[in-house]
Amino acid sequence: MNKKRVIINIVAPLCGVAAFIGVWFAVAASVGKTVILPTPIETLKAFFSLLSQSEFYRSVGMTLARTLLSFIIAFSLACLFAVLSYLCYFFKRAFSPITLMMRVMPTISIILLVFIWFDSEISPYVITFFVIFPMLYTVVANAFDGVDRGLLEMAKAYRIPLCRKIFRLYIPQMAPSVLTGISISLPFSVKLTIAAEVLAFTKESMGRNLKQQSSYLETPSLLAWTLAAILLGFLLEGLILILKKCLFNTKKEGKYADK
Amino acid sequence: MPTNERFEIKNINVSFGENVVFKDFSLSLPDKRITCILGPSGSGKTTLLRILSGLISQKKDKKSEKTSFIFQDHRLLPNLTAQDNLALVLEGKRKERKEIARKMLCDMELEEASGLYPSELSGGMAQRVAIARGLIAKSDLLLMDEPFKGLDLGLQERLIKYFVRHWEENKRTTVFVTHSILEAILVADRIVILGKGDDGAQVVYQKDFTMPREKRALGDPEVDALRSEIHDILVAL
Repeated sequence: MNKKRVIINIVAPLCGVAAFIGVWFAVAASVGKTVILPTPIETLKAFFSLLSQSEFYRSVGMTLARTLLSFIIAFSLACLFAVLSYLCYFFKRAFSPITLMMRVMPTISIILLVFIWFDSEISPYVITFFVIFPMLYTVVANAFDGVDRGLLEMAKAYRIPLCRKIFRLYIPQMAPSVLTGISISLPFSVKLTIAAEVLAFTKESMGRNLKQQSSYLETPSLLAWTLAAILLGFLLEGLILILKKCLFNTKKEGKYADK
Repeated sequence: MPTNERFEIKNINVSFGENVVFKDFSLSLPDKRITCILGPSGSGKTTLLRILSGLISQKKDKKSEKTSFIFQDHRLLPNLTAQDNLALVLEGKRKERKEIARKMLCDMELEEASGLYPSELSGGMAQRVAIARGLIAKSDLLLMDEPFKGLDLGLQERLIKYFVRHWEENKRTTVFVTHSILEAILVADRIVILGKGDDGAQVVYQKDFTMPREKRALGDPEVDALRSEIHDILVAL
């Protein structure tokens, strides 16, 4: 990457953020009411005030734990079902209408049904699982389809042991697209979990705090909690992208490569 | 030459849609000898190798033979170095496998490629690594699908010599598909020509060639006569 491109990659996002904050300032000044739209400074003050409260860390921690637990369960089951689909064409075809239904079903219908069936502590897990599972299943199943057929034939011809085939062929071939899918669906899981917590008014949760600030018309605090949710999403997406870069940066071209 | 026919395929049938590639086709391969298969494009040469390797399943007399397959393209795992790609097909402890792989790469003049990934290698180097992988794997049957295609002539010649030397040290039943008559004459114990018929591929020519390999060279009357004979058959197909 040349120097000019590096500078653009740093400067351009900063310009975008500055423009957003500028517009925010202008609109907040023209509205002139903190309860409707606080300025960025008022929001930041509320955010730093949150950072000094132990309740904030407990709520963020619990929301993160709910998100990760639902995500891990959804991902594990998505992998299991994708493997079954890969091994058995009948199963793949039989399972496709179920995943299709789960994918197109309105999220709000899932949320409302889950509230009927489960209590407010369990609901965020179930909602996140039901929405995320079909997405992850599709990602993993497509990753299986994307494994290089030529390499699979080579492995079959040489009778490479299954264990070596899994760790040397399947996982490295599938991981980039699976990690891309995870980097999209994990921040989405944060949003879903928080939405479910708002509606279920779950104890010790970011969603409950958002709902409370909204009820008290504490708009700066509401935006501060939103900022915390955004940062949590950024953090998770960033971690996945760093992991992807570290593990699978094999696109190398050395002195012998054909130009 | 003793022709103990160990590998046999009998009455195989393969079709792709309406295109019949093999119908009741049978072929036997001499044990621990090199059989070269020549023939026009579409005559079923590659399909035959895929049947022998088990990539196209058929009811065969001999099942689950371990095969080595040198493909037309290198088919190296992009996430592994050249050395690890070779070690992948070996048996034993990881450290031992890597050491055997390193020695093989040295023998193939590929020492400097050892720690490089396939994307860091030229096309020719990657294909040489793939040839090394085919030769190093312990197998009952070695299958080669135009492995020297696309390499420059000097390298082709060196690799053929290396292949013959390595093969002499570790003799095993080998099927070598090629379009080059000279390549076939230089390495083959048996030459088979496949032709296309209405009912799929047929063996139109088969000859065991017993001349010692080290004596085979252009200008030798026997070699030239055989070359001319094969050329005339292929032109007529």
